[in-house]
Amino acid sequence: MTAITVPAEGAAARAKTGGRRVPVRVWVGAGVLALFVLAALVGPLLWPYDPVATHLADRLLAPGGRTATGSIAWLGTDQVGRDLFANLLAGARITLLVAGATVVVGGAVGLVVGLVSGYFGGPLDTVLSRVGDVQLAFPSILLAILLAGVLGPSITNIVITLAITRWVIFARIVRASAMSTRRLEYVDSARVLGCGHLRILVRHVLPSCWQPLLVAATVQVGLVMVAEASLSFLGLGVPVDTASWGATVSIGRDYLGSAWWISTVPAAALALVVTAVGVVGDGFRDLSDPRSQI
Amino acid sequence: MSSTVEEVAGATEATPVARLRGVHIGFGAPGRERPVVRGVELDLVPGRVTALVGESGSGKSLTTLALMGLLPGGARVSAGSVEIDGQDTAGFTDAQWRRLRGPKIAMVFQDPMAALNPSFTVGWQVAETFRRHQGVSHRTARARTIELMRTVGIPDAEHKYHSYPHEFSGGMRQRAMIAMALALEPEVLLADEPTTALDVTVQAQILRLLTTRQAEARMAMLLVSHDLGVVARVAQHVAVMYAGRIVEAGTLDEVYTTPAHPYTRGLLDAMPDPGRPGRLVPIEGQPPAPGHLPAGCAFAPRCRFATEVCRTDDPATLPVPGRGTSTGHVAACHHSARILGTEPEARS
Amino acid sequence: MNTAQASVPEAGTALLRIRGLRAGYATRGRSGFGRRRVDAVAGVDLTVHAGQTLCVVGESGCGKSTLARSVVGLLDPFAGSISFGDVDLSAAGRRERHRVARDLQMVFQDPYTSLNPRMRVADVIAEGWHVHRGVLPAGEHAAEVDRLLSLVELDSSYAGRRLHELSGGQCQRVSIARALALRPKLIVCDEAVSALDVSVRAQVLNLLMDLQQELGVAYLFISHDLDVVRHIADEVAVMYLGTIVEHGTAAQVFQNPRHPYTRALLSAAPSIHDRPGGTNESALTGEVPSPAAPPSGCRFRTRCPIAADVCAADVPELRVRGDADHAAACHFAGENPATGS
Repeated sequence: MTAITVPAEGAAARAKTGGRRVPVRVWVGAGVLALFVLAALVGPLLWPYDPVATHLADRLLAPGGRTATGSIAWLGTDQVGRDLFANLLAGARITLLVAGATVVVGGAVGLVVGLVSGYFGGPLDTVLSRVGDVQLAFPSILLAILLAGVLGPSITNIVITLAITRWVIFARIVRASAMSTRRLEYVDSARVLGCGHLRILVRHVLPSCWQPLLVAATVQVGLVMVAEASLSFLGLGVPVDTASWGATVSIGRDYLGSAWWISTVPAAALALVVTAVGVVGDGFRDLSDPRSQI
Repeated sequence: MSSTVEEVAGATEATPVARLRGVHIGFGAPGRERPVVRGVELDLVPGRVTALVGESGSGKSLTTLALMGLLPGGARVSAGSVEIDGQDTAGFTDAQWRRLRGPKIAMVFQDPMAALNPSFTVGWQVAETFRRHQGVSHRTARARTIELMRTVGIPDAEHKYHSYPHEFSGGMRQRAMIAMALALEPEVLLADEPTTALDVTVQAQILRLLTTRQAEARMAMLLVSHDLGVVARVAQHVAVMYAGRIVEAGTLDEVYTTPAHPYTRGLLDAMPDPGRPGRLVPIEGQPPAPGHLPAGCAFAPRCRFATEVCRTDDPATLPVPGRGTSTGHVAACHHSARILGTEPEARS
Repeated sequence: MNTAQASVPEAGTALLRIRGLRAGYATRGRSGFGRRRVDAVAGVDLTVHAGQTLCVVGESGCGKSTLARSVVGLLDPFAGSISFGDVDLSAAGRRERHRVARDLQMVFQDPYTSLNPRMRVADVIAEGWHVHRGVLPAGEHAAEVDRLLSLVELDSSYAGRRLHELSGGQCQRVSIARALALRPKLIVCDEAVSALDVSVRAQVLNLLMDLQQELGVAYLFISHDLDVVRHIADEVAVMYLGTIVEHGTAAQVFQNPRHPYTRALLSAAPSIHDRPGGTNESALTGEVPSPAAPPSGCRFRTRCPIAADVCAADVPELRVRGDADHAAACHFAGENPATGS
């Protein structure tokens, strides 16, 4: 691992993370992410986006072009003259919300299933693991298309759809770390003390599952965003009157020859966020895995 | 500190095959390293077993690895020299080290399971040494390996040649490790806690094997151990390490019967001994963390003989008073004379 | 201190009774189906008396850890009975076992792995009071943690530290304090000092002996280290391949060992009085057979220097033979080892 270190900051970071340095790239990734979250929170308030408005005079303006009202469309406009910058901000809200909610819901289900399955083992574990195997054998995007088609487009439904396709991954990770923790001597020690299963699960097994779960969650946030964009692109994601990066990419597909920016702007934003999340996730993993350290 | 020790080193009868002269090993960037081994002087003489005794974190394993040129990443010899066969190894390339390891110097590790590759048969791994260093054919390598496995006491060697490490018991794996180390008849054998993972009855067998082979081949052997009993059974010379320094060295008898350093004395008193029932006399406190040493003598905070001078000056390694330089008994203590003069602490 | 002393049982009464214990693990059959039982402990009788130390000594694979785990309920025995006080643990329900857990605690070998590294010292010690409500009102936890820390000779400032800031010896003191928190009558020590360095080991051994004097706690002390056992034991049981081969007071076993295995162990154990070239001829050859396929008759016969035909045919029972003053499971234990063989 190559760690770029700034002496003073390095020392401070080391103190915080228990003797390990946070590389600069992780800070950059976290900064990009924070910027997008901030933009998603306050952006639509400053640059409101009206999904049903049409300003035909302003249609297909290139980035930096001047609209009929005299303002500048920094990222251009789409085929009905809606400002792409406002669209991007509104889309960030939906995309981040869906990704966050999916990971929280899927992660929570996976956590409970994984804990129970890994700690108790036995027939229950066998059944739960097989269910997971069957689901993993099926391509997750096909499953998502199937579910989204049945449930119909809405933000809640897409969160449900994506959570169903993702819980298995969380469950597996939590199960693995619960299984290895269960064999540790301090769990035996707690049993000798007379601790019940619930206390052992919550106080001794759960804490060791948090870190792998968080690492997995950061990876999944990125993948869920892509999955949501794909579904929206296929028209199975968010409702048509809701801005979403995936939906905007889908719309822009028809204008790739004449107005490349419609698809490119949200796609670039998506790529940037997914990369930033990935970098932060890697940072988490490196910090939590003692083997990646000298 | 080293000038006086050199005189002592010069007093040994045979020329050492390997020697450490004022070796410092530290972790970290040059100039700002945390010292973990500080000024170690050690001579490995043919036909002699020298023991390096110390508790965990004392730097004994790093010292051994420095002799093999196998220091872990981040650690380096920051001062002093590691000499093998009269050659200073400073600046040796990997290729030069590889030529030394095997024919000149070999090592037996504490955990043979970690040192053997689980995906190859034991015999193949031992034979590999012959093939690589002597360039012999598979048939010859195999024949020599089976012969060697027999001499280290692996029964049914032809059959065991094709066994994998996990099919061996702990004792047999350690025998295989010893076979591998002895394959090229090295002049120096390093054994880092070779029996710590083994049971007493098996430990006795392995120790006997090591000393027999060592005596037959007149090898210089360095035994690294925390177990004073194992050392007593095997070694002629003892060096006691504490917080990265050799605090006392000399012949086994002198060091064990008339320890001149309070740490050595404390270690011996802390051993349960059927001759002295009752409360044990532990060394109070904890050893300092490597790289975080107190000022003055590193042992002073735990030492009941410590005076003001111990807290300010790190004592030099000097010949023990009343022994003369000829015996080679040295200690790094301001108060060796006082310690030699006092009776062992009474047990209540 | 007063409350602790009130619970001190009368020294000498039988506290823990183990009868005919068989325990171990199950392995898959050769075909991958079905399960085969392997008795790591194959019929053990032992009694620990209040306020006393019974040491079980043996090499790895002799079943001593399986014995310890069965006693504290981490392992369900295949057969036999373990009773604590007047409770038969094998027949006891969950509630009764929970009650017994207060009186029966354990200290593990490696303090770093047997305590949750994420917890603070005070929480580690106090955990038992959360599980066994009624031992101590919540308001008194902090004071009692301080008292226990001073009992194990740690400064009260350690209460707020995390375990990874402590050395091995300090951690082991914390595990002892944790075990003592419930004021147990018996502590099972499974190789409790084996992972410690010599100087620190002496500190912890002294501490264990002092605590026994002050609190009257009994120890079932499992160890492979004969020097330690000789130092701390009142009674000694030597185990080999799942059975007890010799049993007596520490003085009897160490000064007049009757079983050839005990004699071999004693001569093989390194001592600071050994010297190179010294004789230890009786050191054994070979290694411990697998408990999955123990030899017929006497389990030690494959490595025994004095084995005879009778040893392959008959299992020697553990009893006093001839002029011996304690029990040994050897057909020849009655003959004086100095003149016999």
